[in-house]
This record gives sequence, C-alpha cells and structure tokens, in this order.
Amino acid sequence: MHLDDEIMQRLLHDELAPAAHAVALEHLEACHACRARLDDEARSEEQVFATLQAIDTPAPLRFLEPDAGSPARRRWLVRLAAAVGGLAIAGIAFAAPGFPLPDLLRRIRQSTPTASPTPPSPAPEPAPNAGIAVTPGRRLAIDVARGSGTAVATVSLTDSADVILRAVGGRPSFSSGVDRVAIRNVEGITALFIDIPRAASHVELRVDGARVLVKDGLEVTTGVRRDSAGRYLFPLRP
Amino acid sequence: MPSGAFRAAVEELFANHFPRVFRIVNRLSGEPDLAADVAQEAFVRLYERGSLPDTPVAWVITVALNRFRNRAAKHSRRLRLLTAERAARVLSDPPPSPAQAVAHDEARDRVRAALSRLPERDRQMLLLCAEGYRYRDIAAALNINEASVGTLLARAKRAFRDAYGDADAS
Repeated sequence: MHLDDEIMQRLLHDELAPAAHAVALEHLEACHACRARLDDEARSEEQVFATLQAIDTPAPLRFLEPDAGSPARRRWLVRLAAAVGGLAIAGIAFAAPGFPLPDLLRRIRQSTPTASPTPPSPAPEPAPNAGIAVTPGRRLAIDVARGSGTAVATVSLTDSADVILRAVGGRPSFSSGVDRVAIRNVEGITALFIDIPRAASHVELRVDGARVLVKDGLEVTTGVRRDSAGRYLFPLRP
Repeated sequence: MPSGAFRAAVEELFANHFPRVFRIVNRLSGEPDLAADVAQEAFVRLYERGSLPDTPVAWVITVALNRFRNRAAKHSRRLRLLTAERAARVLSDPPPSPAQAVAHDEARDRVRAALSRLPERDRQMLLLCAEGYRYRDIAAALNINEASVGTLLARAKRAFRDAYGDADAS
C-alpha cells in the first residue's frame, strides 16, 4: 500500500507527528514508486509557487497605526468634527440675544446665598511634580533643555505603552507634537524621569538639540552606561 | 489601553505577517492598494481587540479574507485582472522593454486566469500554503478539518496545474 495524498503533503511540509514521520520514512526506504512521487510533488510544488510570483507586486510601506485615509481614522475624524461643530453651535446659541440660558444662569447665581467673598487666590505654588504622557508613533524625539541646576534626567525602559516625562520641582512646561515632546523651563527642577516603552520603535532623547540616547527597535545607543537598576542617567547641568 | 506586552506582540505579528497577508490578498485581488488596506485593517482590528486570540495568525488571515470578500462583493471587483495601467502605477522598477512588458503581461494574465478557475477554497488554500503557513493555521483560517489539509492541498495544486496548462494550451 502506497502513501496517500495526506501523508505525501505532510511529508513535504514537515507536518507529520514524529511517529507517523518515522513510519512514512520506513515506507519510502522500501518503495521506489512513493519516493519518485514525493520527488515529483516537491518539484511540482516549487514550480507552482514560482509561477504564482508572476502576479506579485512589492508590498507598500504600511504601519500598524491606521493612516489618515483609512476608514477607522475617517470615522474618528467625522466624530471629532461633529463634536467640534456641536460645541461651536452651542456657543453661538448661548451668546445669541434672546437665548434664555444666560439669563436663567444669572438668576440662579443671584438667588444662591454666597457664604463669603472668594479670597484672592495666592500665587500658585510650584508643583512638586509635573509631567506628560504621550503614545509614541513610529518615531518620537524627546527634547530637553539644560538648566542651571543640578538636575539629572533618569531614563528607564518600561512595559508601558506611553513615553512618560515627570519633573520634580520647578515650574517646567511641556509641549507635544506628532513626533516630538519637549520640556522647557527646567530651571529649578531637581529631577527628571523619562520612561520609554520597550515596544516603542524609535525614540531619541535630545539635550539642547544633541542626541544623547537613541532607542531603535530593541537597540539602545548612548554614551552613558546603565546603572545597577538598568537606568540611564544624564546630567542636565550646562 | 492595551499593555506594552500586547502591543509588542501585535507589532511583531505585523512585522512578520503583513507582507505575507498582503501578498495573499494581492494575489487574490490583483489590486495592491486594496490588498494593503485589507491587510493593514486586519492587524489594526487585532490591535483594537485588546487581547490575542488563541490562534492570532489564523485570526488575522480570517479577518483579511473576510474583509477582502466583503469589499470585493461591494465593489464588484472580484478577481478583476490587473490592468497594465495599474501595474505601471504600482511597480517602481524602471519600465521594462516593450517585449518584456508583453511577456510579463501574458504570464500574469495566465496565472490570474488559472487562479480564477479554481474554487475559492482551493485558491485560498494554495496561496496560504505558498506563504508557508502551518496546517493548523490554514485549517483555522479556512474553517476546515486540519486532518484533511494535505489532501485538499494536493487537490488544489493539481487543479491549478491543470488550469494553468489549459491556459497555456488556449
């Protein structure tokens, strides 16, 4: 009895369990017809797969994030536009003469007893901690300006999905764009912690415009050594 | 928000399988833009799902094939031959000589004609096997019994060879 199609194909594609594979090989040792058929099958498959390449075209560059033209992104844009439009219409209606809501709110305010006049608010205290979290796309640059203090930027790789910047002390300000996040006004901060997701594809840290760390895929390139906790430390002194 | 580990797993799947899923749908459709959209959407759906299914590869292939089927039905584009104009737009290589272009067009049309004569399941099975997918994934993606994948595959390859030979003779 010869090997059937199922066994032949599984032999070709290494899909037989070890025991069945051994039995099939034993049969092939003794059966010239099956050996010849297996060779034919292998050659024929190679030809078929080569033939299929005639209709191939190069794969375009695509990324996991839906691009602006994809249906999912378009739906979000439509929702966003609807929300913005709704707010705009509500604002115009609120300000329009004769719209009853402002007058109603004024009456409610007048009828509500006030305990005491609101004391003048003190000057805002410097926030002990301030930060920002952004989800990196394909590339993200983190821009840090040096300060005059003794702060150190501590960079850690984490399992978080976001790049997180946390500053201790001072009155820093943060800004972010599509591929960039920046921290300014670093005077007075005593520490800066930067968490970079291990899964991020390309993140670079720039201090005063100079690249001091590049994470590309799993590879991290930097001039400083990791400390015992696996973190990278960068002094922010001028 | 999906965990970092999940995101990393999906990104790895995307890096390894996007070109293959693209090639399968492109071979089925002859429309590279459509194939890229369908393949990309399948991975985005996986990411939006928030967790990995039992057989992630088969899941992505199933979603991609279903999306292709829906789109093809909606736009009546099923198995439309790739026109010379589209091919010229897609291929970024230097333009071939007229003789090369004719030979390439003929070869492409023959393969497409042969594929179009196969039953849908045979066509999908052949293309999944050509991408080297395991029988387990092929069975799960096409909803067939894993124990008979080899038999069905042998039949699909035979059918393609016959159809391709007929196209050669005609």
